Amino acid sequence: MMSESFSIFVVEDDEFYSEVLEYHLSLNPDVTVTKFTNAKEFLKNLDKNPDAITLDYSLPDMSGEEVLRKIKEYNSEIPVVMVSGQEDIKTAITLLKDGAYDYIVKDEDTKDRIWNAIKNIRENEGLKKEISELKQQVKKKYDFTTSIIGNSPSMKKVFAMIEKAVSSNITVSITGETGTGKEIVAKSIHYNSPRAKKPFLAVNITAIPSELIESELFGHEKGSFTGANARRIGKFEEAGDGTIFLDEIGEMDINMQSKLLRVLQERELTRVGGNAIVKINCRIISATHKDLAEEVRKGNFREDLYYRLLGLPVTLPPLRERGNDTLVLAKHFIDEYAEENDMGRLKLSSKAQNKLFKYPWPGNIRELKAVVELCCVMTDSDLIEEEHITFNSTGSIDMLLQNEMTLEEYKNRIVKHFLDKYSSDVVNVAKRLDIGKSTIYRMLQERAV
Amino acid sequence: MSEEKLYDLEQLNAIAAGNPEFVTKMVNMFLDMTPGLVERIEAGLQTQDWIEVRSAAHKMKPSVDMMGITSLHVIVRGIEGNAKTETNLEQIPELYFKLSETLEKVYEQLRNI
Repeated sequence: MMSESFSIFVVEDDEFYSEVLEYHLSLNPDVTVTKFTNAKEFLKNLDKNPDAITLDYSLPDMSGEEVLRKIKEYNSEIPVVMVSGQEDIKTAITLLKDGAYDYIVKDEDTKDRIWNAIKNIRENEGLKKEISELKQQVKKKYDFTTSIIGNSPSMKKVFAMIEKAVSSNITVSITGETGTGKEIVAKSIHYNSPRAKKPFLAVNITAIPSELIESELFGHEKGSFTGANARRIGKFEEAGDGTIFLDEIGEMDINMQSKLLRVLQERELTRVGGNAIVKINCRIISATHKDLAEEVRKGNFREDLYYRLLGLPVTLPPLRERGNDTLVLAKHFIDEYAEENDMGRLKLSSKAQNKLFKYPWPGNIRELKAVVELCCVMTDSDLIEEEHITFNSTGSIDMLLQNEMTLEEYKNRIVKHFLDKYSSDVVNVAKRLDIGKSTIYRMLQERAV
Repeated sequence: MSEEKLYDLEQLNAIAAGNPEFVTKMVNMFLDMTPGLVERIEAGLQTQDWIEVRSAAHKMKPSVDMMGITSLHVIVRGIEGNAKTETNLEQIPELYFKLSETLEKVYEQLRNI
């Protein structure tokens, strides 16, 4: 970005000074300087859209203010560094208010100050371009028609809900087991909505100690508590006109729930330790893996907050209920991994597909991705076989049942597990499993365990 | 006995970054441009056209500074300031005389580099 030629128009009626500026700025080979000695000639060439302009305040044919106004009318994005022979604070303030990037007085340090201003302009331009490119990339990444993968009927319902969320400003509540992609859905809603160019702020309620959550969400004033060394704005303020994503909302402390409810009702907040009212305008998307209605019934979650947050409910199905989506997603992750690691195209054998399809995926898509990436590492060819697939899930009961053994085999497996756990203490194991010691001894004799 | 050097090309040399041709070019430009500006001040003085006096002095400032002619730093600003505010106008002819006299010496010294 910085290696592209950077075009500067030097508008200066003093030929001596103009020559010095041109020479000094052109010492950088990336810079192209074009000189103009009067406003008329310069304005004729403005359509060439220079990257920056240094403009003498006292031109013979037009005042500095007028030339600046004409530049800003044509393209307000072009940075203009005003160069004046005299230090005049009032003029400087007026010009800066009118959109000048800087006001520099001609003296022995001028060339360095102009160069620094140009350097800053170039860096800012570079950052602006980078931000714009990144925003485009993010938008593309969270285009839900490509970022959320699945053809199952349950996912089609999810897509329909996302489309409704995107085209409205309604509060959204997302529920789904761990690893079902709640944050991706929240981001997809944000980056496809009219708020896409505004911030997306994700706050995981479980990741913040309960004593800090209020300050994190609403901000605090200097000295409001030990360690509050400066004023800090909270996530609601930081989100501005964007979206705040409150993840794991079901874990929020009941006292904090009432504070959040007040903020959502009033659409305003006060920072911890402060009195000033701050209006909020961000969209709220919340998510939880819990059944919030059940939490309300149990008295763990405020009913009024529940309804305030409910808005448009999006329920993400667990992977085990998404049928063929498991294989569609597995192939997607394989392709993604192969591309990221410059590998050739990898395929799943039919036995491997069957193994992936039968597994209940207690960790959902997050687990599938991890398992599939490990397969890609384990295979030495372009084919992923059954033996390359290793499950490490902690959802052991589902996984155990997945093996489809006989009842006798399950019994042997359970007894072996307990014997291993309790250092072959048969008496202890018999007591825990409520079976006879002789049963265990017999199993040991028959080498069944 | 050699006369005191009235200019200092240190700043110009710093900008040139080791390119003597640039320094020569700027010295020649100064020698070509400045007499015209001095004439404009003189003509303005004769017709009491203070805008012209101010404008010519204003335009002379950067080159006088860049050429390191420190003795004219205050003088050229004095002419510009008085002409701009149209105060102490009686001082301008004397300031002009000093300006013109010093510059003549500078021209001569620069031609003999």
